[in-house]
Amino acid sequence: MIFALVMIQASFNNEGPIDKAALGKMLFSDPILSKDQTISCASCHKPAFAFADTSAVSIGVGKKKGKRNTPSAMNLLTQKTFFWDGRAATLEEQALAPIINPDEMNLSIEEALQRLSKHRDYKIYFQNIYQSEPNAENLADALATFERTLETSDSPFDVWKFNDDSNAVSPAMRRGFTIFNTKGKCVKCHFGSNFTTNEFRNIGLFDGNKLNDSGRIVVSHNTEDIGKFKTIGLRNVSITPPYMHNGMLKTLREVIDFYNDPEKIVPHNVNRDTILAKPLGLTEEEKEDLEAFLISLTDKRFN
Amino acid sequence: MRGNGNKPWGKIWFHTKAQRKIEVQRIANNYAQFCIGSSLCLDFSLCLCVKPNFALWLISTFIAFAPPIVDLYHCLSLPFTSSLHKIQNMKPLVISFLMCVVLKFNMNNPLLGRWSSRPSKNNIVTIVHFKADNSFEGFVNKKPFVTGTYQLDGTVMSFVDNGCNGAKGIYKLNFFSNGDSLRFEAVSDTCAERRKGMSALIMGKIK
Repeated sequence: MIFALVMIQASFNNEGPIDKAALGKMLFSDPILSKDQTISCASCHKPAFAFADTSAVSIGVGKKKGKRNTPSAMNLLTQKTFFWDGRAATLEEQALAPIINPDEMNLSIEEALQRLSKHRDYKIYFQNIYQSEPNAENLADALATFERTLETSDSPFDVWKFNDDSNAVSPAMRRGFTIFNTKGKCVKCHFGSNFTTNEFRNIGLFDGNKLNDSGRIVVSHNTEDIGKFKTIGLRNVSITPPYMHNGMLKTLREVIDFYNDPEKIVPHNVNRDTILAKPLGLTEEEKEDLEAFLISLTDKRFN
Repeated sequence: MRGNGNKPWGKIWFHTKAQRKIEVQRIANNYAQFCIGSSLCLDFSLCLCVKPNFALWLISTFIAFAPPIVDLYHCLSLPFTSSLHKIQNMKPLVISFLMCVVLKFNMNNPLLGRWSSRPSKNNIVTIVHFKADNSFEGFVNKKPFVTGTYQLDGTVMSFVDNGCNGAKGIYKLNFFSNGDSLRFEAVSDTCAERRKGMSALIMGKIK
């Protein structure tokens, strides 16, 4: 009887995850899912930087360099495809890929599940939440469920629009929003609640030479997709440099200068979208205003 | 009656400036009361009989204001000792006119305010805020996603927004549940994504 009471008390003291998202959060930051147990998802998707990385490409197990810039893992609820080339159709599919990738966590799913099953706590957690041993489905589900909680909707821009409070943003930010929707043509690709249409676009960062990542075509096998990459959402963009699929643009200002005249930055590009056929002709003030607007998309949790 | 050396103004004669001032004030007060009363009556009858639209609003407002125009003319043509008196006496006229305009506009626009969908299977809630200045804002889970302008002609709404490359959408509004719920029926919209999204929307007025 006393033993039973002690066990019941112990179970109440167990600070395990209470739901799938909490389990996913725990796994997200646990290097148990990498070969040498040094890298976790959070190593590259850094929470303080809107779950993106701060380098052009990330460093994986064995100091291996990744091939593309780590995108933010926030605001994924309305996205339809994942990765720069859209090769994952669901968040669950995306969640397991970095674990297997030899340049990232380099661990087979079988070995990952063995580790979790042998782990004293994870075995209990999975049993409590999924009523089963760890398997590929519930591992992916836990990670994806956690990632779906990473939504931000409390930036100065959100306050301005949702609360009708024009004092939440500066005049420069308001002008920048106008430029975003008109002269800057940004809205043509960055339209929506997370400022992305989720389409694949070639903005002129493929020239078949130094810039030889051909993007979406590897997945779709459609020649029209050469050089196309997924349009990234712009929420919290000011804290996720560097930019583009290869991290070649270091600041927001470089991004704006690139879009203003892409031919100037990458002169021999291949298959660039016709939206960017001509320079935008932005003035210095317009560029500053546009940058101010992009900064206004930063959630207050990152202040 | 003739004033003491005062010239006659139309058919109204006054002995003193004080009498003139009192008469102007009486006209202004009567005018304000008449405008509000007649406008309300016309609004009520229009809402019962016909679907409100801009043309009917214009006609009814003209009818409401036509009779007191003679009084208005007298108000403006009578001499005053100071422009301040003139402005003060015009206040009821201006206020009543503005009230009629606001009342008319609000009563003719059943869309005004915020509308919300129920959560979808992906827990997505869409809110649209229709404003009196003919602009609107759309939100997905409180995140702004679209901004635009709209026009209302009876129960037909036409609008453009910052997506869809400026393509205009025309939708019939189907109100139900005492006007607290709303569906959109596409009349003409070349933007396939928008058409698909709006046709699936059922929205309730947020109180």
